[in-house]
Amino acid sequence: MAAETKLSHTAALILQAIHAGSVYGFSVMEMTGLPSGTVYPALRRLERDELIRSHWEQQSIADSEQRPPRKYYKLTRVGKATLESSHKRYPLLAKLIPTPEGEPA
Amino acid sequence: MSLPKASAKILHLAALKCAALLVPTRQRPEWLQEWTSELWYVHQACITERGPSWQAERDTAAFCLGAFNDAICLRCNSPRTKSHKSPVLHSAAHCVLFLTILAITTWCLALRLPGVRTAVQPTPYRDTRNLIAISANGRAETPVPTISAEQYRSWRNRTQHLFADFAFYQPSIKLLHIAPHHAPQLSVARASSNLFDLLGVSPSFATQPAHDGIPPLVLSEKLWRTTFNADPEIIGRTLKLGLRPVKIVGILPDGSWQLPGTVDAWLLEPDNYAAAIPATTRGYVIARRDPSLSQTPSAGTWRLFIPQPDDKPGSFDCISLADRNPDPFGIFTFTLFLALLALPATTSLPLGEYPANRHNLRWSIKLRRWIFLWSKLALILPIVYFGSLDLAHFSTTITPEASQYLQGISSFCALLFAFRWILRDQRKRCPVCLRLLTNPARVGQPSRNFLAWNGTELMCAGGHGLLHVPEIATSWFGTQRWLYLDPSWKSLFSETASASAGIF
Repeated sequence: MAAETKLSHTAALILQAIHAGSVYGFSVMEMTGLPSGTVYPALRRLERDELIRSHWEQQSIADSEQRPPRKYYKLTRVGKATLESSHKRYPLLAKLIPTPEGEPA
Repeated sequence: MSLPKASAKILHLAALKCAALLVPTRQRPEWLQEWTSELWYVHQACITERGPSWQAERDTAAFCLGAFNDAICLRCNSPRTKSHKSPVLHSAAHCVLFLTILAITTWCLALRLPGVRTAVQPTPYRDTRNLIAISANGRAETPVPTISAEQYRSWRNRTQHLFADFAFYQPSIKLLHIAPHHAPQLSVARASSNLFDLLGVSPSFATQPAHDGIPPLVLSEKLWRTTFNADPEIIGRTLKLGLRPVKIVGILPDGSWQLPGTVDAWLLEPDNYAAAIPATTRGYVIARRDPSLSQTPSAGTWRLFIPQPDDKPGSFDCISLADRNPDPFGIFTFTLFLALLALPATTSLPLGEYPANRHNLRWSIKLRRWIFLWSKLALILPIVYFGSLDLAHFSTTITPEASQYLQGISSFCALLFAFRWILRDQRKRCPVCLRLLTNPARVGQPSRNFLAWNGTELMCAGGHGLLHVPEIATSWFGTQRWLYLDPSWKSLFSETASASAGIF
């Protein structure tokens, strides 16, 4: 996917949330305030468009902490480039969800 | 974990599982796994950390309900759903195919239902015009026995001018002892021995009753198949019916019993049986009218006044068996006539006005339009006929009278609805490609009807034209009009829609 892909504000918000460290669905919801009916399908679309990728946590790690394994999301290289170009379109994005220590996308 | 907490958790999981049912099968496990995992964290964040509160419960429930939105969104955006968005009946060929499948389905169902087979086949009785069912005054349609044994005896013993013969039967519930510890309850009709001779039916595998004093029993085919596993060796066996020994002498084929009362077996009593029945016992009486007499009406229900045993005049309803079981096709024809009469009250009959450039349409296109209309009509008739028969005879517990009413009402309603649909569907189709018109748009304003028109404009996806349907009929725009588009407009419409123009 080209780096200059046009994203909706919601999709850009979700990408920004993942970049800011919300690496699973529920934390994205908490960070963005978007409901579950929006976040999970959007995550699937972003994954399909190869802007993010996901992986399941190892069962042994989850077992040792007595909790179910989580599905983690991470920005891809294309996703980072798309988020950077989205910052030009949505300048308030970085202020809404600041990245830790102002890390650039 | 307290009980309310546990039950809330079960409810949340159940909601997620229900939502997962909406997700396409291949993706279902993955989605359910993620939802279930996330639910645990939602629960931790909302309830465990913040403590149980109404707000925390609401957030958890909102997460679970959001799963339904996820699933619906996923289903709406899946390529399979998108490719099936156009309704089945949009194309004329699909419409005819759908109706054909429906007609075949209703016909196959009719073949499978024993009640329909019985209703459709000709009556098994001989000379039904002269076979008369006699019942008490005003109770010809009541499926209960109304003639007392005393009345029957007095008619048999009296010199007859009207009837040549009488038969009496009285259904009651009895135990048939087939084997030790196996005695099913049956509806057994105690009948005079001439019953089957009078009706003109003969049981299968029938043997001549031996003069051993054991009364003969005739089984219905259904009972023979279900209880005796269709064993032909059963003929001639002696069983106990209640406390009396009876000998099985034959099987009455399915569909041979079309008289009132549900009967599993017939116990044929000897001639002196009439004298032994208690006077107050009520049963059914079938009489054979003397064919040489012309005093009685040949059809319909008529009333008979006869002196009673106590010399008071009594009146009885007489109905010939030919009228008692009307032909289902006759009922259908009658409802067809009624539906055609009522149709103009439900929709306008014209198929729409197509004046502009009508002469440009090829005769094959015009013919195709008419063939499509008549195909729909020709397919709707068997669909409604077999469909109404299926409905009327779907359950064996429905009485013949109720079946006739059910067939008549369902047939009338279905025909009226179907004819209305045929006309409205035809008017909503492009006269060139016969596809359903799309993209309805409101045009004009009612206040400007003097110089213009207002109503709905529909478009043929194939680019053949626009249909203008006026909302308020005026003297210059009374009915819908078709505006043909010349080929220069084709580039605006999709190629696929244009290519499907000659589909039918």
